[in-house]
Amino acid sequence: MKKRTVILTMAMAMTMIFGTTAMAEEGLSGKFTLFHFHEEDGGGTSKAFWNAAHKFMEENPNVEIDFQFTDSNNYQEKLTALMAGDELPDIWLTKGDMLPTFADAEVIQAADQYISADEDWAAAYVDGAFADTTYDGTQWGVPFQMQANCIGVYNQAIFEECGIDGWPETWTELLEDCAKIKEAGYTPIAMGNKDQWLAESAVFNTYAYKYIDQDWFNSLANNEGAKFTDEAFVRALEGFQNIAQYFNDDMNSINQDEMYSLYYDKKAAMYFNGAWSVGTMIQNCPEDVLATTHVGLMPAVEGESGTKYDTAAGAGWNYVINTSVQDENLTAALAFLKAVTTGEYADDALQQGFISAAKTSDDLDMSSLAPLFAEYYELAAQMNNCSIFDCVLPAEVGSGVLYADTQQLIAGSMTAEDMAADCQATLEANY
Amino acid sequence: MNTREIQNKKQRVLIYLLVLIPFLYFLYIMVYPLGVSVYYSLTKWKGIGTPKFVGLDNYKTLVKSSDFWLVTKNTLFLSLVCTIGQVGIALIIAFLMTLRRLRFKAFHRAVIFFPVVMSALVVGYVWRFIYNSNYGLLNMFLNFIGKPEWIRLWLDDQNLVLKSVSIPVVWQYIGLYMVILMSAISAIPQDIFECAEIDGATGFKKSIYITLPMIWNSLKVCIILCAGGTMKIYDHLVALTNGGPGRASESLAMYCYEFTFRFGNFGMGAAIAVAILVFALLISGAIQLLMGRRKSA
Repeated sequence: MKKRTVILTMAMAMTMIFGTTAMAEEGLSGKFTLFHFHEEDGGGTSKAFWNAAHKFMEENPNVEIDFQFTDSNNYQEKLTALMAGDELPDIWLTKGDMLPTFADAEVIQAADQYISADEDWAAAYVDGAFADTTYDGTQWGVPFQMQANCIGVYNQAIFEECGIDGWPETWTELLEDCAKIKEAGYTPIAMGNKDQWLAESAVFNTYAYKYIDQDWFNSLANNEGAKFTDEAFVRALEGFQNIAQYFNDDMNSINQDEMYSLYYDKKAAMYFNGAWSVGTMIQNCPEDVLATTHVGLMPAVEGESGTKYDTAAGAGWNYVINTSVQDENLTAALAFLKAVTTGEYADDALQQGFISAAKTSDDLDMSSLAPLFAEYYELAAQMNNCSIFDCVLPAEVGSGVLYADTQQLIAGSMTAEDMAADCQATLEANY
Repeated sequence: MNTREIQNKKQRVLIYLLVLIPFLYFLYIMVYPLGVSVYYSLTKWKGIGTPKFVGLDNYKTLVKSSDFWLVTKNTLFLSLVCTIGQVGIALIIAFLMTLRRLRFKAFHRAVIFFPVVMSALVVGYVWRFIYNSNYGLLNMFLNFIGKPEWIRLWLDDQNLVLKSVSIPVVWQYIGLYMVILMSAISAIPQDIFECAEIDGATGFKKSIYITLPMIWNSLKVCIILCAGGTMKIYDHLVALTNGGPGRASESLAMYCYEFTFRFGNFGMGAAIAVAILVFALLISGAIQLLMGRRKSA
């Protein structure tokens, strides 16, 4: 009897040891499709994503992932086409303004139920990471980045040549500096707004927060009293129209890349754009220009309520999961999303020049960061993150009338009052 | 087979059956989608879930929208300019190609036709570089010939942008209509020209009094194709200006795409698509009416 017990115990122990090993070798299994815009040979966000994705696939050879890539410029349109054709993938990237459509149609499942069930995962994100993924009190998406939609990038050498000591602290100083730069023959502020989003989303949005605040915007978005035609917002539009005199003349016919070229070629002294441009500078800017390039927060406007720290920022895009993904496919998909948004991914993201939505590890060597990114990282810590208009407002307003009218505003073919009235009328038609 | 050759009922049934197959296919790929578009234009639909029937609300919103009338005006302007430019210049070139003294006709024809085979997006981007205010060929040329005062912001000035964007479109498709008109001219019997020459007709008179009436139907087709085709103009404008500044160079097709895919408002997008169809039909009808009376000899 005793001998039999020993044999049985040994057999059980062997089974447990080898069984566990076999499971570890097999890892997760399942398959899912992922619709995304991360370029495989890209930098910044894309590089960190692919590093994490490749590592996940190596560790989980039994998980089959069908990566469906589309260039970010055409992503939204392709996603809309997939939605209309009832061909939505298992996981895809979406902006906050699309969440109500997906959630109300019950094609996505809430992400918070899975994230909160995994303590490590739930604790991995920075505060406010889920602001753009929340609709109706539920967190529907998994965020992967926390980006400022506006940062000032300037050439210190040109500033010094024009007799300017450093980055302006107030809007009046900025206007004075622009006048000096223009007099010296440079374009003070480069602008590439052919695609219509840059002037509004990456510049005006943050400028508006120098006049209005988050409460005002919440009230506007939720139809609780605030209006585009409110005095403070109209003043913001007027102020923005005024600064446009210092943009390059062809601001509405060149795009973001051509705007960078003006800066690379030392024709422009500065530009405002989202934090993604910091990574672009590190990767593409000529060495001599990069060496003298620095970043700054958009100055505050004297007499207005906003501060220089008020910046449109947030997660913007986030991953959502199709309700049709279940069982082992769901387990695999959740493990993948955890891997490409938290943990080592967060540290790698910093090395690639952008801030992820997850906390970095305590032992991360900050001195290894590129100097320009380290500068931005310091500024980002001081920012007061405010909602990005086109991530919250209905698309007809956020990506429609606001984009088109801002283009006319800076071209001088529309008044601030007319633009405010136009935006308000469109918003009221889409509440 | 001529209908008079049908021998019996069995043959008649077979013929109608054979015609029915492509007819049903045509219904499926042309008429059915059109019907679906008309249906969607009467609904509010975000591309997901069940469309909500709203009657003529989308059309009412469109008619009241100043943006809709602005892009309609832009499209009609482009349609008019492109028709006059493309077919008009093509007609002149086709007449010139009939001159006996002209050398290297095949070379000229190939060069003029070459832009037609290029992608509209490529043409758009090439011309964007030509118009660029910093390193664009046009402004560099104006500087070179000592006329810097003629330099303009070709794509940023909203009073100029529509004229600027129409030039690449006209330039690209002259060759297409030239080839159509040249083939129509080549089909005219040579003895008519010979008789005219004996009677003392010059090149200009031959073109006006013989060639033009003889190719009238082809010319009409060219004008309908050009005017109707320009109503759908999209890719050139996307590459050149993306519709800007504001909506100063936006076309109806861009407006339709914007509502459908950027805003996810499929109902309104379908209403704009139906409006494009109606405008194209009206223009074709008007051209038929204006040019229909004159018959070819």
